[in-house]
Amino acid sequence: MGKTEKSIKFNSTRFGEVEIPERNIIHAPGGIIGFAGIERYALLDPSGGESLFLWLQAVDEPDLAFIVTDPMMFVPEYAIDATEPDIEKLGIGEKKPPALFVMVTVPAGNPDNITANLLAPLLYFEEDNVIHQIVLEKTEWGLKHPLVAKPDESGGVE
Amino acid sequence: MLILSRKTEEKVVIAGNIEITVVEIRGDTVKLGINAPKDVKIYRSELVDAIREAAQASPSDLEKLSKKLKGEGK
Repeated sequence: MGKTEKSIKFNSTRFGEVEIPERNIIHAPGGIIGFAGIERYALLDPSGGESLFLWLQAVDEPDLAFIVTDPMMFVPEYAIDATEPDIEKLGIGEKKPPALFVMVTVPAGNPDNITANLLAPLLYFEEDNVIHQIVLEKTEWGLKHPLVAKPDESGGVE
Repeated sequence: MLILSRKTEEKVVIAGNIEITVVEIRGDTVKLGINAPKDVKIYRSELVDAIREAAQASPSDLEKLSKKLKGEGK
């Protein structure tokens, strides 16, 4: 009905000025672990859909951004036990299942040693635009799971 | 840093409502029991360090990686 959509502009160190529809702001109640109090984020895709990775950029902290990805693209056997305490606390039962992201670490100058944090995934509830980071307790998945197998190592990544 | 010596089953209390008990000491491992209000989040520091490290990523390194991953195209 010709309603103009409200947008929000904010600054980011990596991507300059960013403008997104206000309704696309993602709320992280309580914040990301280690970054309490920073609760507004935006999912950015500077590649325009070309990359397997997205950026979770803090709206109010220009310097704070995380690379995130869909873990299933790299680790198809990754799974989260529905009886995890943090899952039960969120009470997902009645809600539409969230999208799953994990944080990625790309060591400076050495992107081949990319790892993903499979221990503390992000659950993105698209309907509410809310993201929760949880910490798995019933899991063997690690904080720094290698995402790219090294061609010169015949063994697995264990 | 404040350093206190505690024996097994002894405690420290922080801010009146957080209680940390030394549950067990075995070799170089100490088991701690923590009683705190529900809204106090408690994490192993490795987890917080890893997330802080992840926050240092640069777009240029990611771009290099993305190109390489595509190049593989197996």
